[in-house]
Amino acid sequence: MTRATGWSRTLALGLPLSLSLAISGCVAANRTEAPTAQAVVQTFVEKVVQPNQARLVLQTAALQAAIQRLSEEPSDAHLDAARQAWLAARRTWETSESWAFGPAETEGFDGAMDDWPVNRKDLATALGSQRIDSDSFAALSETAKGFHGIEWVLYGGRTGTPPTAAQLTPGERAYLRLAADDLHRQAAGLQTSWSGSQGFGARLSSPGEAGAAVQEMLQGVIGMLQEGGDEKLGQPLKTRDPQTLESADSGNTRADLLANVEGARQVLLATGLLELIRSKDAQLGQQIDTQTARAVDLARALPNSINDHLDNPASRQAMEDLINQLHGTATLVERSVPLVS
Amino acid sequence: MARPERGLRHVLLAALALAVVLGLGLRQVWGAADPQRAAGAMTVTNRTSASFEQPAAGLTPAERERHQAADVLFDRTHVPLEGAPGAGLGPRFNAASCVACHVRNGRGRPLMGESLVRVALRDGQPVPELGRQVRDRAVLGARPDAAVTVAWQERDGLRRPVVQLQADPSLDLSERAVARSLRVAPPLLGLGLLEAVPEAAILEHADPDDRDGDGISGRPHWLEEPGGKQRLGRFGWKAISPSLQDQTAAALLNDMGLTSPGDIRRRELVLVTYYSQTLGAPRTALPATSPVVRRGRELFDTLQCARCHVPQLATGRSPAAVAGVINGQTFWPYTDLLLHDMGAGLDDGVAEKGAPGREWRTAPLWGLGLAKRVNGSVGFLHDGRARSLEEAILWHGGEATAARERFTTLAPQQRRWLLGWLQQL
Ligand code: HEC
Ligand code: HEC
Repeated sequence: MTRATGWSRTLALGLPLSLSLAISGCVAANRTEAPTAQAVVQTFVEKVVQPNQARLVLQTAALQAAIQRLSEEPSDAHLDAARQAWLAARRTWETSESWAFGPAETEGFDGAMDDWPVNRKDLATALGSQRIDSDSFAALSETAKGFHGIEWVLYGGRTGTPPTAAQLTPGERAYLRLAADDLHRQAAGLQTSWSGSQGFGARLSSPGEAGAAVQEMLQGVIGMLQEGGDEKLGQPLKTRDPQTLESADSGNTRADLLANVEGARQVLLATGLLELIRSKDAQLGQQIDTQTARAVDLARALPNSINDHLDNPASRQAMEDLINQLHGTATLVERSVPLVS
Repeated sequence: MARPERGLRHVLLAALALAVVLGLGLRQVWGAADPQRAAGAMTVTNRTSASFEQPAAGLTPAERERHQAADVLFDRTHVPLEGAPGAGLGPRFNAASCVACHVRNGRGRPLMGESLVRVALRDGQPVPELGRQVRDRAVLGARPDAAVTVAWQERDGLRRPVVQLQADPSLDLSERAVARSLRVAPPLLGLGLLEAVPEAAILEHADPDDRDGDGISGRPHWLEEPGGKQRLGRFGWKAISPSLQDQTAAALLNDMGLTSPGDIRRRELVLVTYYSQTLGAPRTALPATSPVVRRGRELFDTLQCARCHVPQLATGRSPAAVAGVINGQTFWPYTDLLLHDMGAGLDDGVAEKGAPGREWRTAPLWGLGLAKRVNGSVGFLHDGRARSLEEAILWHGGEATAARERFTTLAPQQRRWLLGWLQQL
């Protein structure tokens, strides 16, 4: 009896398996123009990731310059220019969320630029009392630096209302300069870590590793979709606490999420990866295309400044729709992983 | 008429026999005891850099959801809070989140911010005003215990850390007075399974007086609880925690300065513990039938690595298991969860809860082959000193001296098999 169940189980397992192998074999045998995994990875590194990193380096330099002008001549026009520069750099950074693997995590660049929530207590103390210099800046924790530290000062996290240029204290202006310098340094460090023949980009696209690298790309997209659903939106929806919303001070949560999802589309569309998936399973490729596009639409449909709308039923519905979309899309993308490895 | 019938019967019988043989063979490869399924039914197939972050396979939808909720807590960065000094993070701490050290649930680098330093006076007593762990960071307005720098001393192609401590000159933290033990965060794999191995099964491997005379003893780390009760230590490089909840509570308190119930409610402690309990371990890259696996595994046995790195363990069955799938699993962690004397080379002079400086818990080896993919440049062993698996083996001394010596005499081809096998775990 035990033996019988043993091989009947084997047959039960084996039959559908060999059938499905045969079927997928037929589907896989079409299309000739799909790019190779190697080409996909190469394009990803050279045409998506590295240009994004170069842009971030330029935009954080522009933020530095704007903050320098603001601190030399604190006019509202200069304050506005600094905020615009922050938003531009922020968008580029958030676009990169789908490829935040590698040195961004293992060398700590992500934490240094984008740790969150803001260490309000230390920031208030540091900016309120003594003059901040490079030593005391260095002693601050990561949560008192980076994008969100700068955001907190530019958008009035301390008082709850965006300041005028005249209301910025000398301490705050000094802090902004140091924090923008640091942000730029981190952006440059991240760029360097991917560059050159020994860099992470070269290692990722080294011959013989393409299958693993493509999996890595897909996993990056999946991780972003899950984090967007579980943490960025799921937490605030559950707790109704605006403090759990990233980029709430600038009211930029919606733009962050939109950039996240657009970045995922870049990984799929600008590299040939989606073509590669289509060549293995045309229907799945089509679904991934449609559903990621829909995620972009739903992110666009979120209200600006979600933080003011956490109790509004329509906004909550919009958040929930996007969460479901992100989770559903993650599941679809997960299905493509075995096809392209 | 009779003949074709008999012929048919023969064919059927032959097919039956083939199916039985195949079925048995496949059972061996696919069944519960397949070493490729490192965590049994909790094995994760994902072998990307996100491998260690995947929830275990085999969780029910409700368990998976709970795991995801726990993940948010595990990832959460803590900050100091308004109110009483010390509310929230700090005042002194090592890092602000679990993931800061357990980077992608893998290893921390031997750098401050991802690792920590344990200390003791040379006579084993805690260091006055500092205790047993150096918290090298502090919130604004507070002072860290000490500033820590790690330098490396290179000899014969191997390196060892030299930990420097700088604090108030009134404290004597000199090398002469204070021993220090650098600890990197270990990868978090299959912990729920390790927690559920019955005590008796672990004690079966113990041989504290080396009765069998193989030079390898293996000692359970009994921890004295208040009230005289003894519990078996399982977690940490020296097995100083009896359970994942103890380990988590200690991390919250010592590593992040979060006090309970002030900063962390019990519910949250239980939940974040659940996260580590419901992580899987990756499926190995190669099947048990591949030549690299067969030969590598054979060498692992003949070299007597497997005496300490016990390949296979099994969980018991408990109605209290936090996830049903943990029960009744056979899995492949390559550890005995026991302490071993590893010799002078790995002795850093810091005793913990009765485990002297030279004794370390056999490190589990599952997931070893993904170390680089998950964490980039990694270091092995408790302080991250080994830059490669080979270096890690060369540091083995004490009870593992014979195993190391056998390793160094392997022919190049055999060495490649052994390392190739380790690299696909
Ligand atoms: C400062 C860095 C750091 C932080 C922060 C940290 N850990 Fe750890 N973790 C370590 C180190 C180092 C060890 C090994 C400790 C030892 O040797 O005693 C460890 C061990 C563990 C273990 C035991 C693993 C094993 O294989 O035995 C678990 C589980 C764990 N940590 C969970 C957590 C959780 C949960 C958090 C957050 C609440 C956390 N850690 C925060 C550094 C850290
Ligand atoms: C006497 C018991 C013992 C024997 C025999 C032994 N090991 Fe170990 N092994 C340990 C202990 C204990 C550690 C942890 C030491 C430390 O962290 O300082 C370890 C660590 C390791 C590590 C590093 C793991 C990590 O996560 O950093 C590797 C790799 C390893 N052993 C491989 C081997 C191989 C291969 C052999 C056989 C040649 C072997 N070991 C034999 C006890 C043993």
